[in-house]
Parts: sequence; C-alpha cells; structure tokens
Amino acid sequence: MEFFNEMTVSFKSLSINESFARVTVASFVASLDPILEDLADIKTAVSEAVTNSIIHGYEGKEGVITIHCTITGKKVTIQITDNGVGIEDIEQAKQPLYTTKPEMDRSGMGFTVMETFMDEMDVVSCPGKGTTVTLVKTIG
Amino acid sequence: MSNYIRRFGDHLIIRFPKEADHHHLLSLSDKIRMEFIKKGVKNIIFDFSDVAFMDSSAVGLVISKSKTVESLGGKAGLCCAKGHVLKVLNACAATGINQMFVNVEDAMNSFDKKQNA
Repeated sequence: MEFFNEMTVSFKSLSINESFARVTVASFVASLDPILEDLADIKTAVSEAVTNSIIHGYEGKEGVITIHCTITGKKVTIQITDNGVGIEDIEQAKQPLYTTKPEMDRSGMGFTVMETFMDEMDVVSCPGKGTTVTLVKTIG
Repeated sequence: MSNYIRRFGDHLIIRFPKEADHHHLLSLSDKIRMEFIKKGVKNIIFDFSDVAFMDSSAVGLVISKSKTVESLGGKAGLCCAKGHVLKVLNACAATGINQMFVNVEDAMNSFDKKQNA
C-alpha cells in the first residue's frame, strides 16, 4: 500500500511567518528523506507562494494563510491558500518580470521560480475571494 | 549604517543576510536608498557569502538597485554566489544582466580598472 501522510497549518499573513512556512513544509517532507537540493527547491517555492499571499493577496493587511500538504508515495502536493484580493488575470501574473508592486522592489519572478523549482504548479483564483497555489514535486 | 552595508570608496557593498527573503530584506531597501542620497556611491556589489536561503525577493532588490546605479553611470555586480543561491539567480535570469565575480575584491578591482581605463 502506498505511503500516505497529510497535514494542514494556518498562520497569520505576517512576513515573519515566511520562514515558519518554509521550515514547517520542509519538516513534513523530511520523512521522504529528500536530497538537500529537492528540499531547498520546495522551501523556495513555498516561500514564493506565501510571500505572494502576504504582499499581493492581503496587500500587507491582516489575513490567514493556510498550507495543506499531502504525501502520496514519493509525491508531495502543497496547496497554499489565502482569502485575499485574488488575481484578475492569472496568465498575466505568471509572466516573468510582471509585478503590480515595483515600488516594493519586487522582481515579478515568483511564479517563474515556482514553475522552475517544482514539477507542477497550478494557480486558481477568484477576484475578491482569494487564491490557491498548488505545487507538486516527486522526490527521488 | 546597517550591518549589511559597507562603503569602500565609491563602492557600496551589500552583504545579504543568511535568510534573504522578503521579511529579512524589508528595511534593507530603504537603507540602501539612504546611502545613495548621501552621495559618493558609484558602484554597487551584492555579496551572497552568508546566504543559506534565498528567494526572488533578493533578486528584486538586486534588479531595482542595479538599475538605479546604472542610471547614474555606475556598475553593479554579484559575488560569492553558489549552490542554491546561483540556482535562484539563474531561474530569475539575474546572472545574465549582472556581472558575476568570485569575491568583493575582484568586483571592486574590475570596476576601478574600467573607470580608470
């Protein structure tokens, strides 16, 4: 029978929780004994998604971010959800260097990094309601 | 001046912290801007020696400040980038737009040579 594990964590949309989110997901994935590079990739992708929720989703205001992770066999699926402003045009948002916050020194490369470092990335959003980013990586 | 910022002549050296994410870089941008306001800054060098973790937040800072320096006739460079840091820079195509150096001294010497040429 395939190994299955699951966890959900919610936290305030404070920038100090970016590190907490990375470490929490990394700890959960550690049970698969990933190589350091895979772990760094996952941490980076999670950091990008959480930072997007804080800066763009909640625009610095208070909110809650939820991370739901599952492990099925060697496959890790991570969903990062916020109830923020949502994304009007997802394809535009995914364009490299596109950002609605250039005054905050944002690179506009968050989605590009997520796509590069994970095997799969999907974005579902509803303007005014929130966004869910799904990241998938197979370990080993 | 911040622990992460040093001046050597007209070179501004930015030594990124161990965790170079949005949270840990929040105040660094303003501090760098203050150094530009003080004047005398011509070139900027980003030092990744201490970085254990980085995401595109650091790249955003690099791109923004590099553009400022270059618009003033100066040069921007990156140094001590390896492993995961280099992977993030490559993913953001930052290595294509900034000069890469082995260390800070190499960067300063290179910029000084070009200035005096």
